[in-house]
Amino acid sequence: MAQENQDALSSGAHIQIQLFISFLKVGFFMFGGGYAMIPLLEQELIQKRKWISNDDLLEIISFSQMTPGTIAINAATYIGNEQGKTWGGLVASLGIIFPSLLIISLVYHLAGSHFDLPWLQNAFLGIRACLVAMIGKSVFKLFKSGIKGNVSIAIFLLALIALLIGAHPILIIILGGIVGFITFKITLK
Amino acid sequence: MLHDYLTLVWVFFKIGLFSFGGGLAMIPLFIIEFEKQGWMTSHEFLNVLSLAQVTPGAIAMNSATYVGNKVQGIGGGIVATLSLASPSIIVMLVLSKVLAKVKNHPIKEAIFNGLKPVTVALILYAGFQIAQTTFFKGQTYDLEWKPIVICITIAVIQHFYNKLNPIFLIMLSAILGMVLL
Repeated sequence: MAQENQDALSSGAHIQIQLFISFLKVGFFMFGGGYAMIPLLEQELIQKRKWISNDDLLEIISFSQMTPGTIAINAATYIGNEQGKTWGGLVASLGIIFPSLLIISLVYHLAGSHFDLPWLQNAFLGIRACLVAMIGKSVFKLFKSGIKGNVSIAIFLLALIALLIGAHPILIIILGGIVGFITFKITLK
Repeated sequence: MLHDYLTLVWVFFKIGLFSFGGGLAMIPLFIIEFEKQGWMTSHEFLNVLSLAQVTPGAIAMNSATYVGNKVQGIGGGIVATLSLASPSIIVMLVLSKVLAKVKNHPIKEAIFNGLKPVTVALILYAGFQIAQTTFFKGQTYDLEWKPIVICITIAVIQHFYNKLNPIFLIMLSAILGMVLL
């Protein structure tokens, strides 16, 4: 019922309100760090709102990990700005931040430092097991939409090997950008 | 009191501006700054971090809200979190307007053609890391069977019900975790 009301409100409402609600939802169900929110973004932004495509999402995440700050807020600001200008970027970011503010403030003042609850840890372990399955599916989809041709596959495999042997992610991102640029130059000649 | 708020703004804004590669890159900076300011020992912060991971929201934002609350109450929590987020928001607002201008430029396309496979590798690697801490006991190679069963269950469900909302799967797996584990 609450879900129906919310959808009725957002379908006719201003784009900024839609952005706020969408990112608020992502914020409330986002566990396990930036990359783990990708299945939520897929559902909310691609399937439900139809604001972006799979390939756009991959591009936005690529961009968000290179700019300072958390991937979640960077992606929210970017998509918000694209859909609803500067105000859209601001409300999308506030939407994704709000659950942190609300829940952590409540926990701090209600539970203090006694938050080592076994049931909460078990619920979270269950969620992490779910994240593995969901990230697996997202990787499959993003691979299909974003990796085309032998050069792309080679970059993907080399990046994965580099990560597994402990190379720094930032270094690999920079190298990926350079390789993309060089292959472009070569194909021009 | 104003001074305390200004310190919160300064510390969190600085960390927000100088951390690259997502929220996890902020953690070492948090530890150094919090000890320096006398807000929290590194041991205490690791407890906060485990709370920040099990609660929804970005891990870095959750940590900032907690520490801000500890230093200056609710107002401190709000100030710390917004200060940590604002460099991202400002930088991203500017850059996304620049990026929109070069949207279909061949050089931009070429660079992103190199970046996209790296990003897919990073996402897959994040999945590996979550799997490692979820499916094995501590630092050993002993398998934890129950999380594996939950993972397979979710994988099967999402395979057959393609349009299912991930929020539903997250709630289902939290319940399975509480019941089974």
